[in-house]
Amino acid sequence: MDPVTHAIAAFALLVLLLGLGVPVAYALGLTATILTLIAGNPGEVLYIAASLFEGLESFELLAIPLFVLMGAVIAASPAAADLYSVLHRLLSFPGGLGISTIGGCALFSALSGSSPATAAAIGSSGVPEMMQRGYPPRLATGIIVGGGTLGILIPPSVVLIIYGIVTETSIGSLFLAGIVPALIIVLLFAAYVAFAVRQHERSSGELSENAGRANSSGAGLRVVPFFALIVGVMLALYGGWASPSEVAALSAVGAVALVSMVYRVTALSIWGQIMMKAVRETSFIMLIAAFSYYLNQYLAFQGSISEITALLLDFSSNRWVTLFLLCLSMLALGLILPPFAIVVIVAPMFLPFVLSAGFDPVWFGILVTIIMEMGLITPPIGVNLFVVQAIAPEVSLRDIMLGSAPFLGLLAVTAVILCIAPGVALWLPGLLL
Amino acid sequence: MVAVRVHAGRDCARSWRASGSPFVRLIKTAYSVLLKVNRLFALLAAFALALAACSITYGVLARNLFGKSTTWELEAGIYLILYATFFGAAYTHVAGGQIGINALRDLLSARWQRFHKIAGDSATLAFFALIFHSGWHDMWTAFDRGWHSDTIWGPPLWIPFLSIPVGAALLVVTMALEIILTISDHEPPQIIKSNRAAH
Repeated sequence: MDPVTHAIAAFALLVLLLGLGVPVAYALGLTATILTLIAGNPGEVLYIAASLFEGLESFELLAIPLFVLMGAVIAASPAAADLYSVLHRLLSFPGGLGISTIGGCALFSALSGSSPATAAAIGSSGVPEMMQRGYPPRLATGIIVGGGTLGILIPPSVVLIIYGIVTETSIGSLFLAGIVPALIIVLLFAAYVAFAVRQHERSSGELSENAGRANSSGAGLRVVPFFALIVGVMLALYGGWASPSEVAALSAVGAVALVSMVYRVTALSIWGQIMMKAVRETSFIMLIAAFSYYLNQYLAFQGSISEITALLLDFSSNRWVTLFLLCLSMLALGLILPPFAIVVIVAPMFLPFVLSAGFDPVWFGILVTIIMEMGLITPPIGVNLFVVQAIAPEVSLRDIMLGSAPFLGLLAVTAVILCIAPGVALWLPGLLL
Repeated sequence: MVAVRVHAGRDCARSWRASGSPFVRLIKTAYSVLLKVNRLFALLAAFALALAACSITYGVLARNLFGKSTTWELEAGIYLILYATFFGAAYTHVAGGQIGINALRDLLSARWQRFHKIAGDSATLAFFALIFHSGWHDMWTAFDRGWHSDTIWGPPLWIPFLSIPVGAALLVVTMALEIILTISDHEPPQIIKSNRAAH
């Protein structure tokens, strides 16, 4: 088999295994194993444990489970509800509830670093509140699905950490580069929500936007320490006192201390549940990272990665045409694979083209993350859709998907803005680093 | 609410365990014990995760506040995360924490759904049996030849290697019992798995 046929066979086998219901992580590893048995050197499958060990033996990768731990701790606390009620109180105007939900998602992303955690934490307060105040179910669920995607762009982001590791790009630069595009997405989402609410009010009457003040006393004071923690650890990162992995550990320990003190969570049973949730997420993400690395090693060994890179370099004289096709292929992969698996597999393939075409690897990392955000909204793997459906089972998946479609379009608009003006991502790291 | 769910899960587990032939009941008992074992290893995984966070935090504070340089905390953190990943794998699988695509399965008849599940689970079982074999071989070789990490700290390598065969073995046994129960049409209800997984 030639290298490109290897890659095509790997993709076909992966789709087949996923169709069989094999979980994504195992399907990635099984694909490499079966192809090694059929078309490679069968004896090499006996080195799989060594390959998994090598894939996970990384100082940088440590940041992921530790940020996951921080996210699990904060997501289990009432911090999301407090944050939401503070924003809602500040934005008591038409569309204010929806906009405060978007704002809550953006700010909570900085505390959790995860899209599904953001969608679940803000959505569990936001969806019932919006629907109770007359927001159409499609809009209410769409806001959470869309807002939740910010979790992988706003630092600390698992996707950006993995991209930084596999492409050897500065994780600190990537974190900074994600901030302005994330703000643009927040503004676009907020503008759309204001427009949709006005349209709804014109056709169906006024919405009740007043915040429930009774439940929000002291909420502002309670969430401030969490943001102080994030700002503090980011200062430690950019001040050179700690690496990204060390910052993640400080954040996790700090989150445990703050949740214990601010919300007086001391019951061992609750901490047990929080830690078990963190174990589930850690095992899920790290196994995907390990098996993606294994598949990537297989494709590299067969020459598929270098061959695909060469094809990309010769594909078109117009670098934007090639880039557009790369984005489409990542979006297609996003239909069946979670973001971090895609980044591990395709980023090393695409990076040589990115560099030789004169694109900035930090900028490309942000573009990839926005494409991955779009994947989070797109079925069948679109994780955020299912998170929101679990929160609002009375709303059909079809309605949630239709409600999310405008947010998908706005993410595409942001990707276009990023291509037209790369400075949107590169300005802040250029200024501060 | 959680207590109600736990009680419902226990009642459901009791009535599920009581049905079927003696062989099926034996497998069900073994599966129930295995869920507890998986949970115990997940607790160890949680401890490893917490220990990793604490050891790295200690390293940062020791370096920046007391001017002491530590050589072990990041490497220990990596090995602890390996333990968290593999010791928690079977528990995560049973709790439905590994995302898969079930759109095709939902379109099939009940009989074909069973066949579909057996095929998918068998593939997973074979894969983790291979990982167990490979991981055990690596761990034993590292132990037998006295391999150490090539860092200043230099811990024995069989210790981190051990996490892989142990985690894979738990998954192999879990998958094998689930396949037997699916073939005998006594698949464990999800509430049992979630209750055992969550508490």
